[in-house]
Amino acid sequence: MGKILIVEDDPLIGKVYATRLSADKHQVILADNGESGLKAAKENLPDVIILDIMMPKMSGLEVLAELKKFPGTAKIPVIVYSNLARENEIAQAKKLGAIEFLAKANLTPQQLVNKIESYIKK
Amino acid sequence: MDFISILVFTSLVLNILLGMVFYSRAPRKKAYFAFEFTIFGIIGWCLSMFFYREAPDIFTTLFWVKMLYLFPTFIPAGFILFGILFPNYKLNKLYFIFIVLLNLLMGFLCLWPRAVITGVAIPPTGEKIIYFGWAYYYLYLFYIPLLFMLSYLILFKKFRHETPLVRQQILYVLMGLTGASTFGITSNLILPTFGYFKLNWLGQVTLFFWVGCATYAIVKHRLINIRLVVARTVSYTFLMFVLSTFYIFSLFSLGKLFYQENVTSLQIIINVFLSLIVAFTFQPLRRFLEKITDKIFFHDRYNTEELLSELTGIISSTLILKNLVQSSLNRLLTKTKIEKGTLLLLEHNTIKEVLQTKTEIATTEKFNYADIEILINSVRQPLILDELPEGSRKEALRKIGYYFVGKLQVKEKVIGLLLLGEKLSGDIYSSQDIELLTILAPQFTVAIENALAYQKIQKFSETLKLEVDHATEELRHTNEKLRQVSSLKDEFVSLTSHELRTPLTAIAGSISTVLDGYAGEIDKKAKEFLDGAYNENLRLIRLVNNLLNISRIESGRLKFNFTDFELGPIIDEVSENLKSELVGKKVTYVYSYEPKLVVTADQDKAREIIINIVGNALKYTDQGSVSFTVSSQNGFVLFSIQDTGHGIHPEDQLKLFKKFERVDSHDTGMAKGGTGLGLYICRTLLEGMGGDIWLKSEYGKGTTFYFILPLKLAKN
Repeated sequence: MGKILIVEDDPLIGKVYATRLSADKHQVILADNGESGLKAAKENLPDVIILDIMMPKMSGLEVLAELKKFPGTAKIPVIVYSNLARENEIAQAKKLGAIEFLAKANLTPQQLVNKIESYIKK
Repeated sequence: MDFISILVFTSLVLNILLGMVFYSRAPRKKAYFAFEFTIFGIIGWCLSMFFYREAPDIFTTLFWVKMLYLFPTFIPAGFILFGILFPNYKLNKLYFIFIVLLNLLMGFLCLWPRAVITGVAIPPTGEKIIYFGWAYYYLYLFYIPLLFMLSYLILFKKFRHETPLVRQQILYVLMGLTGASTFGITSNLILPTFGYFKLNWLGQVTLFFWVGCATYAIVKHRLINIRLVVARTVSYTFLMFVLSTFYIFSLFSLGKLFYQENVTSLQIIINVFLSLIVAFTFQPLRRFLEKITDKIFFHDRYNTEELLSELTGIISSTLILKNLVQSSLNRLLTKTKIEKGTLLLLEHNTIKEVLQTKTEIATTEKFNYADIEILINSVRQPLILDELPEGSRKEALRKIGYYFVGKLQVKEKVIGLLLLGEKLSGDIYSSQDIELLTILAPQFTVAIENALAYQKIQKFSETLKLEVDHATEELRHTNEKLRQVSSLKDEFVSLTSHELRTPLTAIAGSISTVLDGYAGEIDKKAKEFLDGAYNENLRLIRLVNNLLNISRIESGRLKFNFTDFELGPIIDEVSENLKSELVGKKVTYVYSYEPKLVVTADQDKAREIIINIVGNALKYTDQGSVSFTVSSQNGFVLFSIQDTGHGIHPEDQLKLFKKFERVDSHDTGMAKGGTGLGLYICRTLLEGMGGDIWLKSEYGKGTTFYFILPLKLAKN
């Protein structure tokens, strides 16, 4: 049982993951842009954060940088995923402290769920 | 001391001087050493003659007369050795000993009483008389000419085989010798034999010329203008001969006529000698005096030859038309004292250019082509104002204000006119000026032609450079544009792929959620369609991925993120995902791998390659099986994917890994969708990670793809 924050601007994708995780009895918080995602993270202090990169208002990388600045959220594992899997973005995300970088297109919902659960157990 | 003694003494001094020059300047060689010996003989000979003539009593005379005959024995002996050795030959020892012994013998006989010389008599007037013994008549008389003759022969023989320089040197030596010895042997050997002693001093004087010639030949290595020297020598010899004969005859005849008595031979000789001195000093003296008087009376006189060579030097030193004309005109005007000068360059019946010395300002307006045309068409050349009859030409010259016109003509074409102004002195053009300008005109023409040609070439090369620069600029521009377009394209592809991938991901996620039963129960038929939709969507995702990869490869932005990772989980995952490709086909898929295979590669790219190759095999195989095995081999991981598909035609196998090549042309009716990029991408990615890819295929039976990736290097 974990508390998972999904910061994702595409509502359908957010809903797909929320559905899958809720089915496994996880508590899911959805945020549809970077700004609200950062706010939700600070308020709820989730166990794992799933963070998209290309988002309105505040990009995922900016959110990540902010999360790592704030002591309460600095230690939360953040999985960054994106369809824009460019080398420099991957490198940047890793540098900022993302625990994992995943390419969205190559990911099945089940795989994501498995990944998330592996971090909750820890 | 009489005049003859002075001559002999002079010759002695000059010979000593030449000997010193020869000794100090000639290279140290055996041949030259031999010649120095000859010079030594000559010097001794002259010395003996001087003292012999000046000896007051019979005993001293007898001593010096012996010396007088001893020293000449060295001359031919040294010379024959020189002849053998020159320029760099070896001397046979036997010859050497023979010549030395012969010389010693002759020398000894000269000193031995009553052998060569038996005695001397001093008459109250006239030359001393020498009495010769048996050795003189039988040996001495032959010894000297014979050795000289032999030397001649030896040198002549060499003459034919030697280099031009050595030939010239030999020529000089022989020439001098011929002149000198003809006199010397006649006056000093033949005449005294018959009791005529009045000329026995002549040889000493003439031999000086020989020594001079030889020294010049050997000391001065590069002999310039041998012909000139030969010509001068011949002409001088002739002159000398003619003058001597004339004077001797006139002295004899006139002397007889006026003095009514015999003229002594000494008088004749002195007179001839004096006349020769007058004859030979006349020219240089005249020239010298002329020079001085010219300097005083004619300040503006110039030397035509000097000025011509100076001008030739100037016009041949530059190809730049302006410099050429300016500097040569400047020099010409200064030297000839002409007020002004202009060069008109003509082309196609117009004045193309007006060139003048720096101090003047050139304009074409000043010259009217109609006036110039009259001057061009004149046959007379050059045109000089003062020499022209009244008429159009004179008119034209007056109009333009010039005094002299020289045509610069190449064959029939007049390329220009040389216009010169008035002489500064106000004089008319002298014949010297006209001669100079007549000689100068053709040279000037050639130089200007060359300069014009050079100008043309330069202009051409400038135009060419401009053209090339322009073309280069255009190319650069085009290249820049292309670069921009290419980068736009990459950006476009990159963004489009991302935009495409987002909805595709959402679709894939949604369908899989439904298929996995998270959205409630679905019936079998609906599941079938959803499966199909899911697969097609997956293919679309792969397509977009490939496009993105191509874009990265093309723009050189392909980067690899190397890590060490285990292959097992990836193979499991990919195989699991690809199982959907099997739906509806009677194809079995089996895969196996060695446990704990760790490679060093880019994980995402390795995954893409596996998806691509295995996916292809599943896609193109309609029945039978696809088996995928992974094993380690020689530091690599070998992936082999064997299918029982249609196989690939040998012709197509070569094309397979190229961009946009697909091989479904042979699989009639079996065409499958795809970009034809997959294998090209796989090959590029594998090569980038130090791997490789190849295949074995039998058409109609199936294909096995192989690819390798480097195993992780074992650490300790």
